Amino acid sequence: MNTKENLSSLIDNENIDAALLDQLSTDESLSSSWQHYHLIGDVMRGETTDKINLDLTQAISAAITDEPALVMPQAYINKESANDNSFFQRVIQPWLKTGGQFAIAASVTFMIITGVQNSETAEQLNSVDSALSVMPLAGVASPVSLSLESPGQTQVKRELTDEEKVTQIRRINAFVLDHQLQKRIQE
Amino acid sequence: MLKQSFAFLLLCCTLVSPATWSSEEVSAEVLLGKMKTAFNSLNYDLSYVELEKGRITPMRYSHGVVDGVSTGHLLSLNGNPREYLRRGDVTSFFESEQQSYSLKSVNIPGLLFKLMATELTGVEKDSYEAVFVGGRSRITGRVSQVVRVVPKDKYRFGYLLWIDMKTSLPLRVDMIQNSGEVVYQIMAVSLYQFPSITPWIEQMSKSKMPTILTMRPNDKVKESEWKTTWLPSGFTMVSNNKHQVAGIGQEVSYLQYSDGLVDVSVYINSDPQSGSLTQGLGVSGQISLQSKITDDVEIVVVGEIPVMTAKKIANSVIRNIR
Repeated sequence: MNTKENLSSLIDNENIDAALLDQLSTDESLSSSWQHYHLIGDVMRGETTDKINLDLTQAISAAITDEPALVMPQAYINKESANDNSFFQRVIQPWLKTGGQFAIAASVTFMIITGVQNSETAEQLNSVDSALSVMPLAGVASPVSLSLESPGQTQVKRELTDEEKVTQIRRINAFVLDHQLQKRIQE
Repeated sequence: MLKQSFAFLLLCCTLVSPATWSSEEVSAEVLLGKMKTAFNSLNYDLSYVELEKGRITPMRYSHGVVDGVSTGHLLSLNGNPREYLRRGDVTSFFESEQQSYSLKSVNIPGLLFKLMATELTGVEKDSYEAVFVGGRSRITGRVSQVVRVVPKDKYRFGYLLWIDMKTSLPLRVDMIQNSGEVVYQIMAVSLYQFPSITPWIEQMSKSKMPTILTMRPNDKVKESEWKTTWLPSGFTMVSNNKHQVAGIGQEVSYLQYSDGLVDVSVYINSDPQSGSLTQGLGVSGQISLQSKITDDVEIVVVGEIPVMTAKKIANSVIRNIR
């Protein structure tokens, strides 16, 4: 197809077509081809990690939309007076009811999981590495990725499934959100 | 040849500048004081971007003093609008996720506002030291002076502040890790100062603020079942309760510590069977998160601190035996 050919030359920086770029942002199938072409390029250049994660972002947003809202026990709600203007009633509680999914959806791409540093050497290596990147923008667009090691069995690495990653990211976001809310109600 | 003479010129500048600056006797403390006063007393529009982990968030802050009351309005410029309006000691929160509300005696959330409201180098909390860096730097087309806020230990972040020579307003803030890595940056892109309040601030000063919510403590416990045995010096407990964390539906024991500038939250979940973070999971950036599982207890530490500090705090949590 002609558009696909143009897309391929766009990826190779040969032909920058403004109209195509517009189309790319609206056309879902075209944008998925775009992703695939890049992936193919990465594989050919050997720039991929061992396990290719095809579309974690989709998995995350799908899981969030599917998440059932937490239902508060009716008795608990009745205990609260209707005109209660406490921070808990108005701010925390609505979040408890929705399972915090709005806020979490908003901040899902925000937290980047770094994995674990178990040994001293790992920590030192990391600090050398980070000293080189002075700007927060260097090495842009870190993907949401997980690498895990349990102490005691550092040799055995267990890959998390996408579903587990989503659960972990959601949990991380819940704690970060709670931390930010708690900061607001300090005296 | 040209290159050589240029290098020589540079050398001269570096040699001469410290001497010329010291004769002016610019104190970092004085500069920081002027900055805080300017931030809450001038009429201005300050647009800036927040940079973190390759993410750029543009914001606009408008400030003015209406009948002696400092009025500030912060607006996020991209995506879902988030707005914060502070009038005197009441701040209103407008976030798309939920109904708007006001809180008393709090500041607009965010590092910039916390920095402008905190006594960094006070006698009591001497966790930081302010150092005048010297030299002049150009930010958003303006000449600024640089002040370094150096933490007295390696367990917290340091700051570099670029302060506008003319208005004393902050133009750039870098949050720096011990290794020199910038974990978070605030960079002004435009600054307009006005002789009197702008129509926008006037409108803001007249708008009705949402209901002020009372800060009812959730379930205050006198003494927590848990305690930390290690904290960087200068951190004191500000909160101690049990509450349910939205989004995970589990009740946790909660401890909060602050060094006056940044906060650390410690969560202890005594029922990790029904859901927990994987052992040793970490997240870093401006906010670090570390998880630990011991004795069937999940410990999560979240705060504006380096990963190493969060990890050390998590490792120090023990049962409080009375």
